[in-house]
Parts: sequence; structure tokens; C-alpha cells
Amino acid sequence: MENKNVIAQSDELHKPEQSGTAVSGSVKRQLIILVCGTAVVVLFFLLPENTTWVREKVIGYWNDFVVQRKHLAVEERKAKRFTTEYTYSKEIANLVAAKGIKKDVLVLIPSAAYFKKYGLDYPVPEPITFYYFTNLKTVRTADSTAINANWYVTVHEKKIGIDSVISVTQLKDSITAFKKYD
Amino acid sequence: MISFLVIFLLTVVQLLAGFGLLILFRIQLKPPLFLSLAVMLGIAVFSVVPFILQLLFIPITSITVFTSLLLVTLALNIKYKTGLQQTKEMFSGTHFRIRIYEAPFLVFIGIIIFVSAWRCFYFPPTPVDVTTGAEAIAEYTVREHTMLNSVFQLPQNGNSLKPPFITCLQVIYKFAGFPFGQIWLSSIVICFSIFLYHAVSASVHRIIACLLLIFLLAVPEMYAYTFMILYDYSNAVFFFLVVFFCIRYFKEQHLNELAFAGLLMGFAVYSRPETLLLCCGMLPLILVNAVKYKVGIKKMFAAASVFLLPSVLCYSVAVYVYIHYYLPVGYSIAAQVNKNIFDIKAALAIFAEASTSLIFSSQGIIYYGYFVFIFLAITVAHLVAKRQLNAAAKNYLYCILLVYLVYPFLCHVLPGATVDYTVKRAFLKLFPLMVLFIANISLVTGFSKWITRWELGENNEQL
Repeated sequence: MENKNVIAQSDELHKPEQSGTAVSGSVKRQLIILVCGTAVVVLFFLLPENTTWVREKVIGYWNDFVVQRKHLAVEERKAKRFTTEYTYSKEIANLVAAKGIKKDVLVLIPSAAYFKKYGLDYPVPEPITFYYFTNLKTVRTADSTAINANWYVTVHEKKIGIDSVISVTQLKDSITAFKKYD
Repeated sequence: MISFLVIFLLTVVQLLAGFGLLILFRIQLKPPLFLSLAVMLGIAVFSVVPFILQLLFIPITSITVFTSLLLVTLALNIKYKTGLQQTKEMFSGTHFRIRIYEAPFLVFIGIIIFVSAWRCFYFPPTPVDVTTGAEAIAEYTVREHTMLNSVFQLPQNGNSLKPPFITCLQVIYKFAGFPFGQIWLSSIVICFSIFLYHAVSASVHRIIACLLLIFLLAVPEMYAYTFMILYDYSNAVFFFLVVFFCIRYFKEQHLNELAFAGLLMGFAVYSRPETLLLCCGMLPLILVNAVKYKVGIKKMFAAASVFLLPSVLCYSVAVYVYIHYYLPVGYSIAAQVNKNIFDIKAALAIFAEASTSLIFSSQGIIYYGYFVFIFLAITVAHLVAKRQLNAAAKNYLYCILLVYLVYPFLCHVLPGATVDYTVKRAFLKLFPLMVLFIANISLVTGFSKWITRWELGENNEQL
């Protein structure tokens, strides 16, 4: 019953406006409500965590928008969002493509620690994410299918390279060597 | 420009699909609530269509997908004559008016939502849960025309074994020309904000509705999920709608509204299967309501059935049938169950952890801001001042407690679910419910009435 009264009054407020002094009185009261509401919102956003939120999320994201609207290329947006996780993955995929092999490629990729040891900041994505980025199938040393890899990734002088697997023994040695960084 | 046109067209079709469904369920609401709900409902319907194509092994191409979407929309609008009549009645006597005090807040809310929507459009989906699951599957569905695609040939981490709610929506939007999909999430966010604002405005003054919506949008974790496609935001929205329509049913006793709540619960379960637990948790509320109104055993059974059946059906098809009989990778929920399930001490420790680490800690403020404390302060003030709760507030409080208790319990039963991830995101469901709880307690509605009367220039002595 109480709620129905409030609903009725809420509707009352949204009927067409009266005229004359009633209007100016109503406008004055509306402005007072606006000032009070604004004061509550200002106080709310003065709370420490809220100040951070509005600065980083609302103002920060708005500033991002101003820049981003001029940079709409899909690849650029991916690189910006996924950073080196994406760019190094694409680099590996390009190396494979440059070899001209398209079928049945399975690349063994060492862990992020291996890349860090050799000076590259590459948070190696999971095989599904790598596949999503590049259309290239990869495998990690810990995966049971690692032994099926026919290519593997290495780093020399901060440059990523790929080598083909010549023999099972060589692949096993590589897996063992990479596992030190898992 | 063409992107905007495509978004507009998709939204129109979603609106029509949802409209048809609302007419079939004879749901009557004010225009802003009706239209925003229709779009959200349309998105939910869309999320099922490619899944049905997959279940029938029909190749998922742009032609099959968009043809099916149009056919489903047409089929749902079988009662279009009734719909048109109802629309006329709905819009007659409707005054669209924005008050002076509303405008600046609505602009501010609009900016908050706009930057979220832009981010949603601009960046690709980033959470590992989707790049190793729904998004990767969607990308290869577009290329290979099946959801059972080459992604499943790679080492799995479990993320690809979820019902295809996100996958389907991503597929539709990718076919529509959006390489990152995701725009559907912004549609849900916008429509939900409109719905919530008007639902709150129905019981309190609009300045209070504006403030509550701003407080809700400023919940950091909740806001983050307005542009990160994961299951949790959509699931929170569907669950909120379930509670909203259940409470309408408790007031008005229209079984069609309970059946509609059941359908929404089905969508909630489809987006996150463990929501089935909440569905079961809602049953006591329905049964207590049936006893209160002395409806008899038959009607009580009918009410429980219409509410429960869609969820059970969705769970059976999207989880049991799809995972066991379609996906090439096996998964057993039974194998995930805690071996020490009766260890009460461990269960209590998880409850304590959920409260201390997620809410009553500095980390909790980083996750959820001050919203929980605002809710607690208003609730305590109300209980001290009024010493009672009305029926709607009691029901909302029950649902809040249900979410608060079920998810830590789930972590105990399934150790794969964790407080830091599962519960943290599941608690997003709490906040919209808290908003409606606040908007329904007499302390707030009384204050709201006072503002309304003062604004109308009525004699203060009457207050």
C-alpha cells in the first residue's frame, strides 16, 4: 500500500508541468534537489577508493577513447591489448610461415621463464590462446603431446628462432632442457 | 557508420524476439522496463539459436545463423496482433519527461556506460577463461562452421567445456562483422541500467534512483565485467530479473509471471550452470508463498514446476547432453566433488574466507568499493528505526542471503571453484538485489515520499 502511494507520486512528478508561480517554485525545488544530489555524489567520490576509480576508469578510459578512436586497425588493437603475449606469438607464427610449411605443424614452446632467461619478456600463452592468436598449433613441455612436436622454439641473442625436429632423441633432449625452466 | 547500422539492426531484431516472448507470457510493464527487458530477452534467445543448430549438426554459417534468427523471431511473434494492441495501450498516457535534477546524473551515468561500451568494442576479449574457451571456439566456429572444431585438438584446461552461451553470441557478432564480438555485452549493460533505473524509480524518488545507479556502477569489480566478456555479468542480470519477476508473482499471484521467471532462470542456468543451485534455493520462497496464499497442493506443485522445469531442461541439454554426447573431450562433475564433503570445519573456513577476504578487508574495498557498507548501514538504520521489513524487502533479503551462502558452499563441494575467482565474481549478483532491497524498505520509501511531497510543494505539516 505504502509503495503504491510512492509510485503514484512518482508518476505525479512526470505529468505535464503546471504554469506560472507553481513552475518557478517547482524549478527552484528541483534545483535544490540537484544540489543535494550532487553533494552526495561528490562526497561518495571523495572516498579514497572511489576517487581512484573515477580517475582511472571514467577519466582515464575517456582519455583512452580520445586517442583510440583514431587507431582502429584490428591488428593494432590486438597488439595493444595483449602486448608481447600477442606480438611474440605472431613472430613465431611468421617464422613458421616463412618456412613455407602449412600442414601438420606442431611447435614445442618453452615456458616464459626460458624466454626471460634469454632476455625476452614473453608471457607464453596457453596452446589454445596461441592457436586463437595465430592459427598455429603449439604444445608445452608438460603436455603429453609434447613428444609429437615437429618444430621447437629457441632464443639466440634475444632473437626468437625455430628449428625443426630431426629425431625423437633430439626432441626428448630439448624437452628435458626446456623443463629446467618450467 | 556501417557498424552502427549493423548494431542497430541486430538490436531491432533482438527487441522483436524479446517482444514476442513477452507477449506470449502476457508480461505487462511500463514502456522503459518493457523495451529494455525485450532487448535483453532477445539477446538471451539469440544465444540459444546457434547452439540448436549445433545440436542438430546443421553447419553454422552466416546464412544458417541469420536465417534461423529471423525465423525464431517470426515464430515468437505469432501473436503480433495482441502485441501491437498491447503496445498501443502501453504507450497511451505515457509521459516521457526528464526533471532538472535527473539530467546531470543521467549524463554522468551515460558517460560511465559509454566508456565501458567503447572499451568493449575496441579491445579483443582478454580473460584467459575466454581466450582458452568461448572466444577461441567462436573464432574457429566461424572458420570451420561447427562448434566442435579444431580447438578441441589442443591441450584443454576446462574452459572449453562450458555451455556455449558466450560462444553463440560471439559467433553471431563475428558473422555480423565485429571481429571481437562482445558488443552484445554492452547492449545488456545499457538495457539493464535502463531497466534497473526504472524499476527503482517505481518505488523511490528519481534522485534516489540516480544515486543508487551511480553507486552500483561504481562497484569496481562489477564495472570491470561490463566490458570483459565472461559469464558473470549476464548471469547476474538474468538472476536479478528472476528475483524481480518472482517478487511480482508473490505480490500479484499471476502464474504467468512465475513461468516467465522460470524461463529467465533457464537462461541464467544456460549462462552459468551452477545457478541451478540458486534455482533450488528459490523453491522454499515459492512454497512459503503458496502456503501463505493457501493455494492448495496442486497449484503449489504447478508453481514449483513452471519455475524449475526450464532450468532443469537447460542444464540437462547444455551441460549433460552437450558435454557428454557432443564435445570430443570428456568431463565428469562427479570426479570434481570434494572427498571430505562432510568436513564442517573446512566448510566454515571457506565461509569465513569469503566474508573476510572479499568484503570485510581492504582488498574487499578494492573489489566492491563501499557498496556493501552502504547497504549494511541503510539496513541497520532501517531495522533500528522501523524494526520490521515489508514482504518485498524480506524476499530480496532472502535472495541476497541465498547468493551469499550458496557460493562458498559450492567452493566446499567443488574445490575447483575458488573464493578468489568463483565467489568473487558470483557475488556480483548481490549488488543489483541490494539496490532493489534498499529501494523497497520503508525507511527509504518514506524519505522518498518526503522529497516527493516537498518537491510538489505540499504542506510539510501533512508529512
